[in-house]
Amino acid sequence: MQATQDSIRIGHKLDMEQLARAHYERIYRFCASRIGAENAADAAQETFVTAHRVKAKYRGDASVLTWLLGIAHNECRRWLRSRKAVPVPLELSTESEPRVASPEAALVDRRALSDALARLSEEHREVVILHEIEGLRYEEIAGVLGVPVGTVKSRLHHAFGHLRKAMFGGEEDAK
Amino acid sequence: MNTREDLKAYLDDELETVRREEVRQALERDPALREELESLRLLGEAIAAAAPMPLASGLEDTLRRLESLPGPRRRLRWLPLATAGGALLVLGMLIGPLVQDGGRQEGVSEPAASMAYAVPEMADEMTTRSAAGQMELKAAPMAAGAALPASDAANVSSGLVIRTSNLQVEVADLAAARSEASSLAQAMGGFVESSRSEQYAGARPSAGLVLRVPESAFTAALERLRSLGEVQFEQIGGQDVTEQVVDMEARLKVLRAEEDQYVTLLGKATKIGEVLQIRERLTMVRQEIESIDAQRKSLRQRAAMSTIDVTLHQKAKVGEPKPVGSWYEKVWASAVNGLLALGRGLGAALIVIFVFAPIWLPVALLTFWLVRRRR
Repeated sequence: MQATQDSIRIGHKLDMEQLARAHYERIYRFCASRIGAENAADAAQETFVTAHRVKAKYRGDASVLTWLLGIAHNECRRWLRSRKAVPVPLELSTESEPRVASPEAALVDRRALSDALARLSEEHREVVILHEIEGLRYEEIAGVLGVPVGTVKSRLHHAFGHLRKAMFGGEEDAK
Repeated sequence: MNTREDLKAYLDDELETVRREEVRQALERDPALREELESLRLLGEAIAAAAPMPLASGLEDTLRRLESLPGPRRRLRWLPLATAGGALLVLGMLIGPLVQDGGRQEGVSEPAASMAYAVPEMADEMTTRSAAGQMELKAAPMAAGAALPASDAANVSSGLVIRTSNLQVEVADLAAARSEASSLAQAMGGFVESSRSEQYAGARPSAGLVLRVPESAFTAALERLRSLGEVQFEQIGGQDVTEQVVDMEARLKVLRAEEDQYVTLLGKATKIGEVLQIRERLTMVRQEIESIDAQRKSLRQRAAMSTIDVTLHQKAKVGEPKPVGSWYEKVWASAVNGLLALGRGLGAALIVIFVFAPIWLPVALLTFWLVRRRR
């Protein structure tokens, strides 16, 4: 993976086809979690088309994935704005086996979690998706969203505060 | 600072070392904090575990669309560089030889000299150029003489220069001018070495004379010849043979001494074999002496008698009836001339633009490229 990225990034020469093959799935998934699976293909395609148009501006100071996620993020925002759509609730899969080997995590009610995520503000949902699902570091998230690292940290803190309250009730907050 | 605000960052290992340690100590002290951390961990894991993993679709569509997108920018990227490089190369090729040997410009003007036949106004320029060349030539033997040993230099008449001149004069009366030129040579103590006469159909008649005049009379003879008519071309040259002659005389001295020795030896020889051998050597030496002596005399003579190659051209007869055309012929002719002039002007402009392409083309392409890039 790292080798692929490096070969794609050499001299800022971006081969968009190669990039699409390498990152399409990540971008698609990110878009799916933001605007729903039915719209993800369109948004992902727009992401790569936009990337192709502005690739001269890619300066190589961020990883290609972060750069692409940033574009995808903007595409999703535009999509949401243009439709004045209510953010699609993050649909957590309820049918499959838990993939992470943590028995406690399986205890969390997925439906409740999904509802709690849906109630988050768009800004909070963004950081939760980018951090917990995409697994980006705070600094990378800051790059994608174009905000300071401190903002990412505080948004995550507040987002998890809301989630915790929704999932485990307010009694722990009181302590 | 509120530790709880940093709990999530602590969990994600996004804190600086000092702050991390502070939070760790706070966690050890406070079990409620530990519980909260645990709930955060659980939430994060639950979200990651339950994250939808929809099968990505539309990759092929995206690839097809990317393929259909115009990609000229990438091709253009090397174009300005390549053009600039090529232009520099061409410029280098053009300027390089000029800078390297400016001396070749002398050679370049050789054809210009032949052009002077046709362009009278250029003849003046040629004359001045030739005069400058003559001055250089005059200076040369003096320098050569100075370089010689004083004793040897004394043997030679200071500076032996074979002077030659090429003169083209347009005269009103060809026959009269020709006879005047030959009588002039004789009057100055010289002679006519050769003469020729040319008369081609359609061309002006001309006559050529090769005159030999004493070196002392060279300048005066040229002066007289110039006054025969209008000078169209003049070239004066000289070859300094001083060194050659000095060298020859030195070798003659050595050979004569050798000759004397052989003669003495011959007188002393007793055996017939010795006599024959010495005679053979003596003959060789004498032949060499004669050959060198002849060359030396020839050089001296050529230096003593300068050569003037003069060509006389018949001037076009004035008053030849010129056909006067009617008014429309004049208009026609001037219109055609105008058209031709316009064509020539346009052609010249095109050539200039083309030749200057190495200068403006890279600039234009670079600008074009920058403008495109900015968009």
